[in-house]
Amino acid sequence: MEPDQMILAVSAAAQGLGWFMLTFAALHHLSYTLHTILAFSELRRARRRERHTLDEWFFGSKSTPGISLLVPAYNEELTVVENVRSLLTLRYPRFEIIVVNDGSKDGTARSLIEAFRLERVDLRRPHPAPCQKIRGIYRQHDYPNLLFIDKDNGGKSDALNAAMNYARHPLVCGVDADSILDHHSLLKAVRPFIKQPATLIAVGGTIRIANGCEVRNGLIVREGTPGKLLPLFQVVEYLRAFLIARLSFSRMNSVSIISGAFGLFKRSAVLQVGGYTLGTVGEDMELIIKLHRHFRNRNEPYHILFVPDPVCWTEAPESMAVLRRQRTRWQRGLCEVLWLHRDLMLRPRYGGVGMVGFPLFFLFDIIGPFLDLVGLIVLPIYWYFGLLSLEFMAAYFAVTVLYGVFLSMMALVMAELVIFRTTRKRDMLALFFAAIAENFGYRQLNLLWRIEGIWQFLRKRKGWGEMTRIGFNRPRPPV
Amino acid sequence: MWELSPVSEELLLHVLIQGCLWLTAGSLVLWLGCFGYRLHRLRLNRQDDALEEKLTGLVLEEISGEILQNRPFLRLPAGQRRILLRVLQNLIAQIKGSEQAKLIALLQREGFMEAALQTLAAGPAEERQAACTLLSYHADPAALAALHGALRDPDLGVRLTATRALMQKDQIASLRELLARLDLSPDDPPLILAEIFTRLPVRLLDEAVHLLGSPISDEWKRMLAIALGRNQVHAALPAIVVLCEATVPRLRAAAWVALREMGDPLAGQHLLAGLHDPSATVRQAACQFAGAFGGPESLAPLQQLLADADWWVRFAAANALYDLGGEGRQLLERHSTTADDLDVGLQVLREREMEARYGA
Repeated sequence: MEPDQMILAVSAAAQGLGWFMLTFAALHHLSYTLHTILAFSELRRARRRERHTLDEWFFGSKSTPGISLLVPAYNEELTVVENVRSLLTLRYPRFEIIVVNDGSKDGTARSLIEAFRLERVDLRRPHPAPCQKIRGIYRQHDYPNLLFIDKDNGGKSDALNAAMNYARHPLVCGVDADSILDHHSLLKAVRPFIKQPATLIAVGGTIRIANGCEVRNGLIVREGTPGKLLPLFQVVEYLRAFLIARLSFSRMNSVSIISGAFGLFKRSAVLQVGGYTLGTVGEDMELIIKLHRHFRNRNEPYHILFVPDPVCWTEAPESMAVLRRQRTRWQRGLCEVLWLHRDLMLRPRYGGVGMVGFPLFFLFDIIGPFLDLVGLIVLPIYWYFGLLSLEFMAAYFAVTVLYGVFLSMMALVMAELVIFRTTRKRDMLALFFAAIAENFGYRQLNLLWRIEGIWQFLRKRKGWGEMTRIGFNRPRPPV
Repeated sequence: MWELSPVSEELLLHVLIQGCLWLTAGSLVLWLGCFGYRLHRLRLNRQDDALEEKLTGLVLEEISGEILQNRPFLRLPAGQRRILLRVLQNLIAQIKGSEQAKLIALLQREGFMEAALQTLAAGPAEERQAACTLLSYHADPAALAALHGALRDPDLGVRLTATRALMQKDQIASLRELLARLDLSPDDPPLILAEIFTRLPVRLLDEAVHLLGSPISDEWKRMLAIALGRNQVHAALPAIVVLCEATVPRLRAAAWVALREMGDPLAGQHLLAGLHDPSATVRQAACQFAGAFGGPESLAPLQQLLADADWWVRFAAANALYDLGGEGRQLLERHSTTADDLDVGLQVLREREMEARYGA
């Protein structure tokens, strides 16, 4: 080949790759725009659906369904007592709390037993959901709605299954031991179950970041934003994920994830699919997909909803290392679910999950990180060598970064409409800053962690990795 | 091969850049609007909170008998009277007895009843509901007429609050008429029906019993049966017993729950059918009835149910045998001596012992 021809060929290849990257990025963000539109539409529907004027009736009724809160705890010594205390103060007519110590290596079990003066009791129930050996069950007559299960380590799914087996109420709610539920969150989450008792099988709520909030006696007494950049970025990220993506999937009855930190389920439906699948990393998503598969296979009518206003607060990682572990684990969980249920992909029988949710996850969450990273590295090199124009680079920047700012801003607007109640001027300005700044570095860093997660999945790495908890309102260790 | 011409390529890039810029700018402006509104709301909230605190103090002084100069409530502008209304609502729910009567007098004197009537005609749903609550403290014809009117309110919560107020005042002439005026749709939560039926005044119970025997939806029947059971309306027994043979298992189970709530041992003659029902939920509900009101004839079927395929039915049967005491408990103890460690009989004995220790 002549050198001129070679240059032309390289130039054409670079142009082709550049346009491919740009088109992919544009499509990616276009899908988010559609999500945003659907999310606003679902929000309107949710507003019409949720009648706050009925809350007092539900609260005072003998017929309001009881809820069993399932609280798996693994090495949560620092936060578990405070969080159980907070759960005990929830405003709901009939609920129980089942805390499961999943073979922690720290003093989780001891701190609970001592704090609540728990006594060992002989309580046995059938185990329709598989779980590891139960070491002991504890309760205390001063806390009749608290049950503590101490069991061998088997992972989060195993702990949730154990709690589910001992649950007395028709609705079960998975809550992370490091999370704080809003005082009225159960009442808000149960509303759809009261309205659609026959067909509704699961409801997910919003997870918000508690770093920076003032916590007293296990309750959020003042909302606030974190002082550090990393958790601040995560606040915007969570708002985008919950208020845009999940609301829009709810609009299509194809909610694929209900966060393990806070989700309300019909117990009988979960037991019909055998509870949580053991040994999974993304057990929360896996359960939802199993439910979709089960009810679609049986042609039974069902609904899985996301409702934005029941809020659960969680502690976000403040160090890069812990955040990286969390994100790689999430990505492994996603890969695992997509692989386990690959036969749902593009199958009309599985409705929105098979035809929309799965393809989007595969395209933008599995393939996407690779293409985005390649685009970020290769396109500037092409431009440097004159293979791509400055206008092209500006367009790529606009589509990847400016569009990201637009989406984050829309999430903030949505939060303003739905969940922000007492946000102060300072906090709003901090979020505004974060919504812009996270597009310069933080999102790109996430791409790397996602790729790392995919790599770990391919290498069949299991396990959760160490998650360091600081605890709410505790002195932070020196940095 | 398809190829972009330089002109169309340039145009496309231009459109992309401009589109993203405009979208981002639009979202920033939208956020700024929200920010401005938030600041405005924060300022208003601060003012409202301060005013609420001040007005609560003034109202408490007023009802504690101190004479206030210049009738401060009358001079309040309309926006601040809204806060006063909130203060009075909060206080009226908390204060009882003669002081509540003073509060009601204050409401009338300050013209809040008229304000409530106006709110009920054209306010937001939450305020219409609050207006219904306030009007429930008044007995004059205007308040009653407004509450009757509120039964046609577009918001279900407002209609139900009006229903509760009218029930308290015994102003509901007919249950059928009430249900027709409430115009409940299949989308409305069945739990609401349970609440209405549970709070029915005695005068309407006969009509409720008739309603249970008439062709109404299964969900209404279920709620009505349980409510009549809870209210121990023994006249409903024949209609509830008929439900024990309904085709829908949920209805049959509800019938046994209602019979247990009612506590009428006469229902025991139908117990065998319930204990042999094909639905596990119904068998479980029948076991619970048997535990409370069963006679010697229920011992044998309960003993058989200790070997039921469903764990929860076995558990309910064991509990029923324990509750029956005497021969029932002996049967359970005998069964437990030959059973393995995971058996329900043993489990029930252990748990009951534990309950006795805790005094539960």
